[in-house]
Amino acid sequence: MNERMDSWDSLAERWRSGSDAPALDLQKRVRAAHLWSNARLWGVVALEVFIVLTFVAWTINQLQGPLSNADVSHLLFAWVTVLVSLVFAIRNRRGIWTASGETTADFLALCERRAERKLQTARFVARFTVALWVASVALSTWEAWYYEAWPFLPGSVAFFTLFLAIYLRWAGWFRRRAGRELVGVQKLRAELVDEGQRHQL
Amino acid sequence: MSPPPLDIGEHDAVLTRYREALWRLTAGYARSRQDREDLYQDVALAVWQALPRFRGDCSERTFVYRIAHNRGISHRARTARRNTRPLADLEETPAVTPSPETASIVRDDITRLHVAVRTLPVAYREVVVLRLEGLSSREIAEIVGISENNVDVRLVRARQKLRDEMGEAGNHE
Repeated sequence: MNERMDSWDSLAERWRSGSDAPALDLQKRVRAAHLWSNARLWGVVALEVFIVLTFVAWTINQLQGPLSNADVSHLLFAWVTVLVSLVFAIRNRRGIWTASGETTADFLALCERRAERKLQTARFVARFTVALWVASVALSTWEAWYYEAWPFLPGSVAFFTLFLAIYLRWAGWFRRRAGRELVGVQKLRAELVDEGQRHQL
Repeated sequence: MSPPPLDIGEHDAVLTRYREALWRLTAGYARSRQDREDLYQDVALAVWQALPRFRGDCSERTFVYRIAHNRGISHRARTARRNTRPLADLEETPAVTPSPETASIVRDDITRLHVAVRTLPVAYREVVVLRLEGLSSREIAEIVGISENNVDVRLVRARQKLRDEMGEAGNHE
């Protein structure tokens, strides 16, 4: 056993003598990155709060005067969109902040959960955007018919379609990226777990 | 009773203490020099962010290596399918040593070790890198989340693979 330890010790000596860490102001960069990372997290929360407050203010403003049928439909449409998105965002973030334990296996499980949630986000964005497009076109059609503004507004449909195309493209790209990440984590996990199981036998 | 949380000055001191070790650890998970430098920043950031959570339940060394190792594993998972270039191709520029002749020999020796470590399967590499950093089997088991016995088995097999890879003929046994 001592012989074995000696063998590792001589290798460790060589290993450690080969270090050439880049000379850079690590602490400064790390602090900056830390601040940026926190700012990003708070930025997301602040954006969500801002969106909700904007919608509340807009709703209050709408409720000040008499509401037409179109106003009511716009309000309903906007609130359903915001609430569904928020509920999804909050639920999708649950359980992916920290690992359940501190071992590599726990950490890999967390990585897998995060990649799965990213895939769910991509799927949600694609489906929800299509649903919004259908609802928007239906709403525009109904308004055009209701206000006898036929033929109905091609401009708004073009806008919704452009919106749909951009989001679907983003969702596709994000899905491919998350898929690659998930495969990578699963492969690594299988590699580590299989190796562990072989040693148990 | 747990010790008080570390202050900012202590965080700096911890990073300074483990700077070289963190750099060496990244060699086991990166695919190119640039990739390694990025990972190094990531790892240092992760350690920095995790330090306020350190309550002395394990040694500081185990804590730092655990964070670094997990970050390395997650980096490996993220980049596993992005780049299929063999890990052994990673350039390496070890620190220079005394005289020109011996420096060249030592540098070759160190480079061979680095390349050999990178060619190990990841299950072996993770324990080998930690062992080369001087951690005991118990500490490695704690970090990786496997039994001590499992660590020892992996180390024995990894040592054999390293020996084959480096073309050793019992030089270090």
